[in-house]
Amino acid sequence: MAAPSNLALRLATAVVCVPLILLLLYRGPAWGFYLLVFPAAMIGTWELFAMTHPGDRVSQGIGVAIAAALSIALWFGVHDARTVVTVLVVVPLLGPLVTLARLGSIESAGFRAFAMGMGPLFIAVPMTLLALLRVEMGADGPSYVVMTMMFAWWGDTGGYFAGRYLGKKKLYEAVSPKKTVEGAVGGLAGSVLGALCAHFWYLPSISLAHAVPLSIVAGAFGQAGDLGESLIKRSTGVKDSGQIVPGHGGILDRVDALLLTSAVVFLYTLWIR
Amino acid sequence: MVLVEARNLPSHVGIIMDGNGRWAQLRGQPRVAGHKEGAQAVRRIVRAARRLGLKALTLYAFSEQNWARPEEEVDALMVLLREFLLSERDEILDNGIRLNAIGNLGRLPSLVRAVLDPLRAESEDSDRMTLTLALSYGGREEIAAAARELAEEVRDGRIDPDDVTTERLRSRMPSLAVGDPDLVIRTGGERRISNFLLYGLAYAELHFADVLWPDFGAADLYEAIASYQVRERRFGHVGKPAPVALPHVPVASPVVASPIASALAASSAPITRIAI
Repeated sequence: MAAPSNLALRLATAVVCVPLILLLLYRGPAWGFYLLVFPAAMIGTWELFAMTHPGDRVSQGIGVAIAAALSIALWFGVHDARTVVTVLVVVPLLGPLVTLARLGSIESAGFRAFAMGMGPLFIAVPMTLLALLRVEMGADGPSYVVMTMMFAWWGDTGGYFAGRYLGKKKLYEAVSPKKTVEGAVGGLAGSVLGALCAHFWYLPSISLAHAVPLSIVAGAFGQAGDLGESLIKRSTGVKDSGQIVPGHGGILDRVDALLLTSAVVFLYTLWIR
Repeated sequence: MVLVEARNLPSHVGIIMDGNGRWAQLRGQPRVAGHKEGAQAVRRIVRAARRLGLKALTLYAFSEQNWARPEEEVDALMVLLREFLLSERDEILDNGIRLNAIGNLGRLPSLVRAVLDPLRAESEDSDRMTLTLALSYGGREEIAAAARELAEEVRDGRIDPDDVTTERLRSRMPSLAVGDPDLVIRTGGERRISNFLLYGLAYAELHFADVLWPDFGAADLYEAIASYQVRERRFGHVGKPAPVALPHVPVASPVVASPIASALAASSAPITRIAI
């Protein structure tokens, strides 16, 4: 977890960025948010490949290019089953083949092959779904995006404070030594608070019976996503995945939980709502 | 859970949205409450149709004969229609839906026209899905109007009486600008067409659902489409020969006995099902 001085920098960054995001969501055109999401997803993808393919600029570039193509395909073709199936067949199958041309050390080649198959999907798909949520849900679109972000980021914040003041029992030391069970519970409380705000304030069309369970599922997966990113970082020996967001580390550090909450909320709107 | 095969979708689906009044009566509420709930169902179904990738959806919202209903119900319906158009404006424009309206639109009150006309104009170039609202619509009226148009052309000497063909008549029907309906659904349990899309119905598959319109959900739409997909459309031609029952052979034939063959047969039998 960040040191207190870092917390001030984090807050300052949030104070600048959050109003800009809200302005873009509620006042900008429906596709405007995608213009923000797309570069963020590409930087996040690049950070991921910098961890899985250290020093191999060519492979990193190929990975980001595949992610860009699939994000654009999904943005325009999410309602065309052929497009979705094609993306899901081509990327995981052909990605690993890139490693045949960029072999490097044979010990890590298998890991890198699978990273090239999965990596382009890992960030670009959920981030594109988040931008699609803005468009898909009509007049409620901006509020659905805000709720999804609250599930992730208020979960982070709740986890941070609960862990800092109440944290005793380690949650998963081998992966993330500072996270505690108390923090995880506080994180879920933060996500649920996001659901309450949504229902009572900015998204009245979602009922409590939907919002609260959704926030718990999304919040729990979000925290797992956070741990998942820590796992990749630890395993590849990186502290922060980047320095692009002052006080927040890289894009990937900021969106690790959001990837999962976006997927959960999008699937909720697709199957249940 | 009903899944829909993605590669054999009907292109144009029409829906007769029946049962709002009964839905309200069953709950001891005024009919208007049923219409209000029905508007929610419209939102659900438009979204589901769009996500499925249908090219055209035509909703029978108000018939030419509905004007005979009590004045307060008609007024409430018009207000609801206006509210629907206002609240769905963003979703329609942002998702590439072209909004169209058919029927005797001149009879609609100005409070509806004031939102309907600009939205039609604004969404004119969208092409992902055409949402057509049949308002003050009647199928016979539409046929008569098309016939009248052709009669005028004959009178003016622009076409010959022999040129009055089914195709030319069809080209004068606004409801068929998006193609003939492939599937027409009626909710609410009645088995009638009630003057909807008469001319285009020639080869449409019909699906009757007992569920009242306010309760009609995405799953019911999927079920209707799935039932369409298993039917064989022949357009008046002769179909494939029906499978002939083979005489029972007591000795297990090697083809049937092979586990791989039977697994292959089992896997190729159902359709590839994708839900998007």
